Formats: sequence, structure tokens, C-alpha cells
Amino acid sequence: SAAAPRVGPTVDPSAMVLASAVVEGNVTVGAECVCHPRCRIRAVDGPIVLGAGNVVEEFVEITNCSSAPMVIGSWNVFEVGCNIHAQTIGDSNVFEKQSRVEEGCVVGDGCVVGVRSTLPRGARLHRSVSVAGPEGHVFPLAAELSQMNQELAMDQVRLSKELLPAFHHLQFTE
Amino acid sequence: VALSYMLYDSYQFIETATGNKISRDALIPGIQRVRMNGKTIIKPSATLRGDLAQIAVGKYCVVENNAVIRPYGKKVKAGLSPGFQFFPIQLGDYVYIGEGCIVEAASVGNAVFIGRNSIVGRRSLVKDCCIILPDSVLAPDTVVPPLTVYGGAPAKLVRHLHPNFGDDLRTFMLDYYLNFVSHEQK
Repeated sequence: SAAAPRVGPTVDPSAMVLASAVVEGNVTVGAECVCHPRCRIRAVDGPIVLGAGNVVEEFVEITNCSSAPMVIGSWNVFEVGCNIHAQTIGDSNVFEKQSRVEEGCVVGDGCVVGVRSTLPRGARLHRSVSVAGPEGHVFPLAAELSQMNQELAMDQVRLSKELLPAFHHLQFTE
Repeated sequence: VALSYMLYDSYQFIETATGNKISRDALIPGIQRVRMNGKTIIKPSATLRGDLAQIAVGKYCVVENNAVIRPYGKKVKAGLSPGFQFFPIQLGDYVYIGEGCIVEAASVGNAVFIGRNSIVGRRSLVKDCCIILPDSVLAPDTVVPPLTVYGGAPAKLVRHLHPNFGDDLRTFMLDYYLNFVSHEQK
């Protein structure tokens, strides 16, 4: 039988994917997302679904190599150089610089994955925790912090919508 | 330190009137908001986000491959325009930024050496004549005092430097600039 046709990305008209960002394969980018230049969102096998208002900064790699869909919620911030292979990610999380989330991880809501820390294969984070250090120590976070993270992500999206179109070409816009 | 020639093909770099050598592969969106005082080398695949806020770079600086210089974002409650905004970055003269660094500092002073793969956290202040060791992570809001070596994750004071360090680094950076030439200029 013939192989299934390759499905291209679906991008919401209110999302901003800047010119040198790479979005490949069956990727759905939700409303108000901001994909900065030189980020890579690649669905190698299964699809990737990004919710609303995610901020994907430079050198971020979001890759789905498994056949299951990767579902990412809304108002997450992926900071410079982080590497995401997770299975499910909730809402208003922050993935700090050069952090790494391995395959099969499930991240809840309002979590912070610290600078250069790694979530090992199949790890599960529930609500409002922070992970720090290369060994991945887990600390609880105050519930208000996750609320703050969401507000910061919203502000960042709002400001990016004003600033970035003056300097960049956008992809996937008619 | 005696450096040997670092040669590049002349089509890979743009040389400006003030002697900046900027790679054509470097990503500098909003280049009209990036001010360079001259004789600065920006290597390929370095990123300077001038579109977010202004970036001022001094003279005789080097930004290595894959380094990211990115203005930090912060929410301000009072002032002329309250709300979330990005703040400008200032780099002094004779600053070396190593491979794969992420610099989100508020300002970096003169004669600073930042080793490869280190992260200079949000709104940190790096004063004059410092070394930040490779692979270190400077926590947000850190102040690095003059003539010190910082290293580790999170970065801490490792030792103090000899007062001559500024002069040493200046000669090194001058050497670096003079030896970084195209095949034709050799």
C-alpha cells in the first residue's frame, strides 16, 4: 500500500511564525503563538499540537519522534536552547534555558524546569513544581507563581505582536 | 599570547567602514537598533536580538558561533510605560563572548571574558575586567564585581584577578582582531 501523504503544518492566523523558524510535518500551531527565529518544531512521526499563546524562543527544539501525538497546552514559555521530546505538557509552564525534557514525560500545569536541568525518560510532574539541577531535584512551587507565569507569557505575547512584525517576515500568513 | 592568523573567505564576512566584521550567516534582526563602536567581530550563527531592544556593543569585541545576545524582558509597575517590556543591553569594549553563550545581562563592562557555553542570567551586571568560566550559569540579578573570576552553576566567586588583567585582555583582543583577516588581507 502507498505511504500516507505527508501532512504539512497548520498555523492559526493569529500566530506568528517568524521567517527563519522551522516548522515541519504534522504540526498544529495554536492561536497567538510566537515562534522566534531559528527555533525548530518538527513532527518526525506523530503529530505535534501546540495550544494557544506559547512562546518558542531561539534554538528551541520541539521534536516528536514517537508515533503518539505530542500535546502541548497553552501559555508555555520555551526559553533559548531547550530541547523538548515530552509526550504531554500542560498549561503555563516555563522551560528555562537549555533544559531538556526526554521522551514520554508528562508535565502538568504551572511547572518550572530550571536552567540546564533534565527530566529523565517517562518522568511525571504534577502541578506547580520546579525542577533544578542536572540531577533533577524537584521542589514545590507556590500556586501564585504559576498564575504569574501565565500572565508573563501573555504579556510577552502581547509585546511580541507589537515589536516583531516591524523587523521580520512572517511565515504561514496570507 | 601569540596568535596565528585566523583566515576567512572574504565573501563570508561584511566589513563595515568602522572595521566591524560581521558574518553574513549571523542573525541580527533589527540591526538598525544594534550599535557597534567598531572593530567588532560577529561570527557565523551568532544571534543578536536588536528587534526586542537596543544593543550597544563597544569596540574590539568578539561574539563567537552560536552565542545569543538577547535583551531581557521584565514587568515594570511604575515609570513612563508600565507593563512588560524588554530592556537594552550594553556591552563594553574588549568583551569576548564564547561559543554557545546566552547573554541576557543588563550590562557587561570593559575587558570581560565569558567562556563558552555559559549562561549570563537575566538582568545581571558584569562589571569591568572579569572572567566567567566556561559552562557556568550566572543566576538572574547577579552582580559580578571587578577583577574577579566567577564559575560553576550557579556561578560563585572563584578567585580574584591581578590588576593587570584588563591590559592583558586588551592586548589579546587587539591581537585577535589583527589576526582575524581574510585570505586576501593576509
